[in-house]
Amino acid sequence: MKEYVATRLLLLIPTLLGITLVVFFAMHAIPGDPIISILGEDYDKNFAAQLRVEYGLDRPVIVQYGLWLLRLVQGNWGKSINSHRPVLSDVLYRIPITAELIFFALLLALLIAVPAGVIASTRPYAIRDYSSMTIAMIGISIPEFFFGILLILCFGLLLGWLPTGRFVSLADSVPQNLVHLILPAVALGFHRAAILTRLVRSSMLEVIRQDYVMTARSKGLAERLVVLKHALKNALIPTVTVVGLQIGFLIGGAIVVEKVFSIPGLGSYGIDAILARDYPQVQGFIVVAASVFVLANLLVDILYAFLDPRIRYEKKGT
Amino acid sequence: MEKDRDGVKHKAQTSIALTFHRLRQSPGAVFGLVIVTLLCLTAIFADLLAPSGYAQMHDELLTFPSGAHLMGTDMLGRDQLSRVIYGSRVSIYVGLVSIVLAILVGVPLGLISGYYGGILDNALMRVMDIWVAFPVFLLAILIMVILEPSVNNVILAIGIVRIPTYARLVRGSVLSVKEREYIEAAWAIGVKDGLVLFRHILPNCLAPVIVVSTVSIANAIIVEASLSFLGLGTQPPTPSWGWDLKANLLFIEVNPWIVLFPGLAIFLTVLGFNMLGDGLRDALDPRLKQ
Repeated sequence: MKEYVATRLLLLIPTLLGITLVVFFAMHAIPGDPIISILGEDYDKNFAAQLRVEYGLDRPVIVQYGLWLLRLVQGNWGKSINSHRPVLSDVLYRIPITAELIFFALLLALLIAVPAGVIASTRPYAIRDYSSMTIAMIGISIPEFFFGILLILCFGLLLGWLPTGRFVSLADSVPQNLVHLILPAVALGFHRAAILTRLVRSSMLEVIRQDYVMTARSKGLAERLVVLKHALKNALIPTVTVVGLQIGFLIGGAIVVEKVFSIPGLGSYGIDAILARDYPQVQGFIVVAASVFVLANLLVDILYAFLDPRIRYEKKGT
Repeated sequence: MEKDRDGVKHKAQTSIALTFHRLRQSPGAVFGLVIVTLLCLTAIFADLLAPSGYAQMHDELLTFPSGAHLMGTDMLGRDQLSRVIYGSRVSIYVGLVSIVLAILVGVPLGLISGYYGGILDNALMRVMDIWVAFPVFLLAILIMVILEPSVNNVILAIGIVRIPTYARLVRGSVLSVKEREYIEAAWAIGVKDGLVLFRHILPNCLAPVIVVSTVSIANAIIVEASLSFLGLGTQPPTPSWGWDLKANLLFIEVNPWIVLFPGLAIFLTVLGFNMLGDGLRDALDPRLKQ
């Protein structure tokens, strides 16, 4: 197990390097001169040349990448073109907000999906199966931002049960923060719950047909025990992998949901930066978002190997 | 009519007819097909169906649904029904063209990768691995940062993001199809590689491509709407459901209807494609139905 974890951790280095490469060259591919975008159209040519040397823009691209990477590792992520604030501290301030939103959305998705998937699979093609699958189909088809707007309309404006206004951070008030997060977490989590419900149902149906489940039944175990202890445990293994993949989608979804609910998280930060063409901010946003996705997948891979011993042995054998 | 071993007459059915027959038996798939057909007709005949032009401004601003304007008007006095009708064009256009683009690049890559194997296969699949290492929506956003926001660039972004899906899917199918006896027979009689690939292997890899495409169109429509909602996709004056939702959201407290209609249009469209996709999956491969 240790060997497997060590290999996966080592593989992280080229992956993260790959991300920085993609981000750097993507930023490089943007048409236009970054110095002019910093100084504006009426710029002083001498000052521009001085800045070009200062930023290393007069050097070969590969050297520029090396310098940028070095600064990234040293924690010097540059300053925002518009606000002149350091990008790293802004990003670090916003990460917990988005992480909290994603955490609650995922928690909610799992709390809905596992019971709903199991209930649907125990009586395939019965009314409860059809109703959970219909709700799941609706969940898959409704975009997060529209569902968020519906929630604002229903629970915020019409019923007035939940706040939709200014976001309260965890540091200001824990209960207020949690109350403010309910609607965004539901908006983000419902779509994921729908996907996971379908997955749990189909893996349960697959597992339930296997011989060992029949053995458990034939030795007289209660159906509840067969389903929850024997079948569910194995059916959850593919779910763990998909949960890992969902984190990538949750980051994407969080961007949109944060915009709907005006949450000052990483997603809003990134989109505002893109719309304002604030490239140091855009770089910081994409590097962090992609790295979080890679780290989440690494965690899931390790968890997967922990849950299913065959994985680490297979890796050893190959 | 053909007779079977017991002398009973059967109507000869092609695989397409059989698929249609199975599709018709699934109420969900029929529902999906009806929505998709209606949507396509709306997009084609938008000029005839829309009560006014999508940019035409009326005197009444932010009105509720009424006889004069069935879905009300927006903040500029534009008829919401007309904008929803014209908006279907962008959704369908982006959904279809982006997926065709992904298929045109991804399917040949998967065919070559699976058929020839070896270093080429390894190299192509590693590139695809890096490609999918980025979350889809984030990659689409990154591409939109490089390109200027516009409908065609959204198509390009979604198309590029979706290429690995098809390359991997087709490669998997090729690997299993090329082991079959009739392929070996084709090789034995000296049929050239190109002919084996396109005439004998490709048609047998198409079923999963069709199923994935239907669902991918639904996803592409969501991505377009999301990008436009963020201001990174379709730009005005082209009517887009995502952009309309973003613009109308500011007036949600004055008139909630104006956010409901574009949102419902996106939802119904995506629902239609998803239900059709599910039905097609069951019809094309009944073994998958559980």
